[in-house]
Amino acid sequence: MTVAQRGGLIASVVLAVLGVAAVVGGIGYGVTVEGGEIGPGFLPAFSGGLVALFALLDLVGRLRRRTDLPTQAELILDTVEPVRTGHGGVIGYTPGDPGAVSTGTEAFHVPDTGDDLDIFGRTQKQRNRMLAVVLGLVVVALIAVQLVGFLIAFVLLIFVIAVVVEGRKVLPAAIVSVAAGAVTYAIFVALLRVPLPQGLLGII
Amino acid sequence: MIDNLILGFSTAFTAENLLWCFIGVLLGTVIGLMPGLGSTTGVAILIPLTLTLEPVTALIMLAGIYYGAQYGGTITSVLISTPGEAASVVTTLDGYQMAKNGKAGSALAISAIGSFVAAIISLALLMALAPPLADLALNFGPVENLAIMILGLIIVVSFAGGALSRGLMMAAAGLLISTVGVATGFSDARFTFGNINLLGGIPFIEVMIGLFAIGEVLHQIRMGADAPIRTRFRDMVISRSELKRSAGPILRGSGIGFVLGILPGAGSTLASFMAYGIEKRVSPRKAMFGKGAIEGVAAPESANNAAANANFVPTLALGIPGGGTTAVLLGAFTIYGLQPGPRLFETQPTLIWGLLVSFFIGNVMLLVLNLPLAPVFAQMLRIPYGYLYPIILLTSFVGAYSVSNNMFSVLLVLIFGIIGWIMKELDLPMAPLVLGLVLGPLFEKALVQTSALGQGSFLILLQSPISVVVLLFAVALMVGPKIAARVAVRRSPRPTRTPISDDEREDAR
Amino acid sequence: MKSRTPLAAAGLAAVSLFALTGCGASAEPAADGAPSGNVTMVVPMGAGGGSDQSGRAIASGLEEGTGLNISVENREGGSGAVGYSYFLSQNGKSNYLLASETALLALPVTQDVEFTYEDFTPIMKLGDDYTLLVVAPDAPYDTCSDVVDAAKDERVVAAVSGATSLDEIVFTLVESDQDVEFDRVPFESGSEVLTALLGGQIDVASLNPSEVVAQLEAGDLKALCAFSEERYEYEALSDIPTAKEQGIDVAFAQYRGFIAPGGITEDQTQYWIEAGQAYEESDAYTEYIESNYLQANAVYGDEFSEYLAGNTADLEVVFAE
Repeated sequence: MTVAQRGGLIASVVLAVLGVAAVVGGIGYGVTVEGGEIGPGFLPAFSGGLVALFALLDLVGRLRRRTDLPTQAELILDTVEPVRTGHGGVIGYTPGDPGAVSTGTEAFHVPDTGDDLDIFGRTQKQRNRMLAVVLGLVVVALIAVQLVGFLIAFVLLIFVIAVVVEGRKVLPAAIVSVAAGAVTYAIFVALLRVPLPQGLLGII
Repeated sequence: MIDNLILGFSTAFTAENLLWCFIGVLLGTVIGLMPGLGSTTGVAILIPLTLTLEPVTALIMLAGIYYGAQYGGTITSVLISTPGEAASVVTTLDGYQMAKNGKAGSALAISAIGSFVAAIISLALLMALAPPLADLALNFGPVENLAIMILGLIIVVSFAGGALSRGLMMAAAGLLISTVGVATGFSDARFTFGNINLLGGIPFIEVMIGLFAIGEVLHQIRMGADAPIRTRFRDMVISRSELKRSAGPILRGSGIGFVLGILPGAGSTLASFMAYGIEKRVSPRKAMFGKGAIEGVAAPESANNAAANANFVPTLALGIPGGGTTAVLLGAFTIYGLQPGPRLFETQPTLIWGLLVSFFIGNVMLLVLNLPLAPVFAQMLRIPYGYLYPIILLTSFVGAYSVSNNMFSVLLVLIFGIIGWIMKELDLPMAPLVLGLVLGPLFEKALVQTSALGQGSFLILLQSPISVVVLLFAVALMVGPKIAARVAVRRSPRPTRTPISDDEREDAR
Repeated sequence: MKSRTPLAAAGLAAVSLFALTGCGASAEPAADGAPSGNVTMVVPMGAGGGSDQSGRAIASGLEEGTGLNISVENREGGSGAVGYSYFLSQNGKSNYLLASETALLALPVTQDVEFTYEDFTPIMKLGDDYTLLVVAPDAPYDTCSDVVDAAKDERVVAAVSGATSLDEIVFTLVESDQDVEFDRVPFESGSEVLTALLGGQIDVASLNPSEVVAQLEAGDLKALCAFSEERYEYEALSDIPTAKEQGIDVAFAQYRGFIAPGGITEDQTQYWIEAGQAYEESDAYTEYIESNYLQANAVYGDEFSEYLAGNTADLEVVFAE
């Protein structure tokens, strides 16, 4: 079972549990009110029930599908999701590689390309690390908003991502990030008068 | 009628009005380019700018902002998969795929052309038929709205894509998310866990920015950078065959949009989703949908523009806003000392006809401005992704913040960004979730009202002729394709790409 | 239509003005309770609505009188709860104001929020927005008493624009005063109620005059009574009798006004009250009141607090179910 297949199963289980919880919550809010009219709990219970139902159906489908290959007829009828070639070309899939992502159906169509480098020659593992770093930096920037203010925090974010994560040259990265900040300032602060948080520094 | 048109043109065609119309369209486009800032916010925030102008001029400028902001949202939907408002969510499905295939220019051009055609058709209908149509629209009460909503949900089901259960699961999840907060007609706070920021619910704008913009950025980082799209300028221009293929979708989209736009509340989001769903049913190239079909951009774009214009039917003829932006525009009327209402056509003919004609001019300007600019905007994709995505992060978060001036929105965007990324990795469709989220409150309101009117019984749905017709249409949509597929299978020995319902696809497994 | 000088450059000038004022937050020492630096008018609702309009009108009126620079900030969410909570965190800062209406009183009664009106400093109530009972022109009612009588033995469907909205409060007060019951259908805004009334889906509605005056003039609706203390003085509304004249002892208004944060000094409170009094004298005030068909009952400071206390008591009765 690949990571994505396992992820899909986990997602379905989580949604099923959430759905059931919503049904319970909805009943608590009152599905109907006096006179049998729709109450505030109806839609939560109704949609929660649907989420749980479809998540279970999906779960069953995923468990069953794992062993069946799609038939030629299904392929002709377009019942199987097509191979999605994303921005990065064909999505690679190597069994056993914990980083590889592929959905159940893709696995049947996509030939193993083996090499999985992007145009900068970065491996999947490196890109996974990049993703973690970018997410971490965003969280840091959001915390920094309290300190240096919204615009400065995000201009720094652009600069750091460009230089550290993407390996861009310092000068162009600085120019781009400051320019982006300036345009944002012009539109949001000057024209639309959005009160962006200024943080403890209180400059802009 | 002719007199009125002449009056309108002579009012709108002054150098000053044309200038302000142009400024409005330009400012609107820039605002629409910012994630989170749609036409409603754009118009509301810029009203103070217009206070020094003549009322006609001010309204002309505001209408320009309205149209401009809508088109700006389309540009970001196509280029970076970030819809400006719920009505352009559908545009991302095929528009973004077209951009990835190097056809961003065509996608933008067809949106401009489709919007223009839709605007002209709907304006002509608006001018000719506003008062009688408005009376007709009044017949759509809660009961009829519920029927329309059911029809809408069924059409969505029909284009949920290959895996039906996953589409339905996400639509239901969207409905569920929409129940957070205080419901219409009740004072119970649901699923807020004591957080006052959640009392008003989870706003779909933040969810949309998170799922689409942030989710896509995270997904792309994980997928690895691709070479910036390099196509020759010539290839960015729309081709004749693409234009030909789009004619039908544009006309059908305009029709659907206009009809739904007249109904107060039904709105342009539903119109764009329905136009896409219907196009996917009738198109001979339905397999291309979701992979960059130009029809999948033309139809919803025309629909939401036609709906936006049709929104003015109840606004001008009854003094009742048909949607968010028209509500803000009505507010502007009172600021200029005009009382919107059923008599506006009689008491302020210069203003009304000037405004209607200026809608026309605004759309012409938008087309003139954007047809040549479409390839230029498409060049944005040449920016190395290493620069582009941090900038997308910045504008997304600032845009989210500016919706309600609250850091909580920024947090929501981050959370839904991570959810969106997980959904992309797991191949879970996002459009049904957004539709569920947008329709949820409307659906719940119609349910509560219908049940209150029927004193707990839904038989009232069968007592209104309009709702019966709508429901019959919904049943036909559900059953029709199955019958058609069976007939087709009987006729040809080999299964072909004839319409086949998703239910059967599921069964086939 | 007023004639205004058409200045093609005005808008652009305004844009650049915004750019200049955006960064100039100079901190002058306060004298006589005047706030230092720029003043912020918080609007706890979204841009474009009634609260937003009143917030912007008050801000520009006060700006004119005081010479201060007052900018408007929309902090929407939770039917106003987010904005008021944000305002609560500005305790002690006299350069913050908030455009307030009845949500300030309804929220603490119906929701789990951390504030009541006592946490803030009430400054000025501009006026009252009462409601009119309106029906379709061919409806079989001519007075509000007719409607009440009808409700005694048949089903009268009343539309309300929310569970804690002004019309819900008014209908509940009528019910307890007259011992009848209306069948409610909830909507989300006054304009939705209006649509349903014009479309014949509901029987009666209780709407603000500004929401229905155009329909009344056009003869698309008729007004049976006004839930106000006194008749309206506006020409278009002066023929409408009050509910009290018809034997229904109900008058309840949504107020429009502004408040300052709690914990500001006596001088600072006095400064804003005087600024409000100056605003009441101005043409801008009259124009705002008249274009929104309010009844101009301005009260200040402690008197405003008493008004809020009285209304809170009413609301507690209405929502104590």
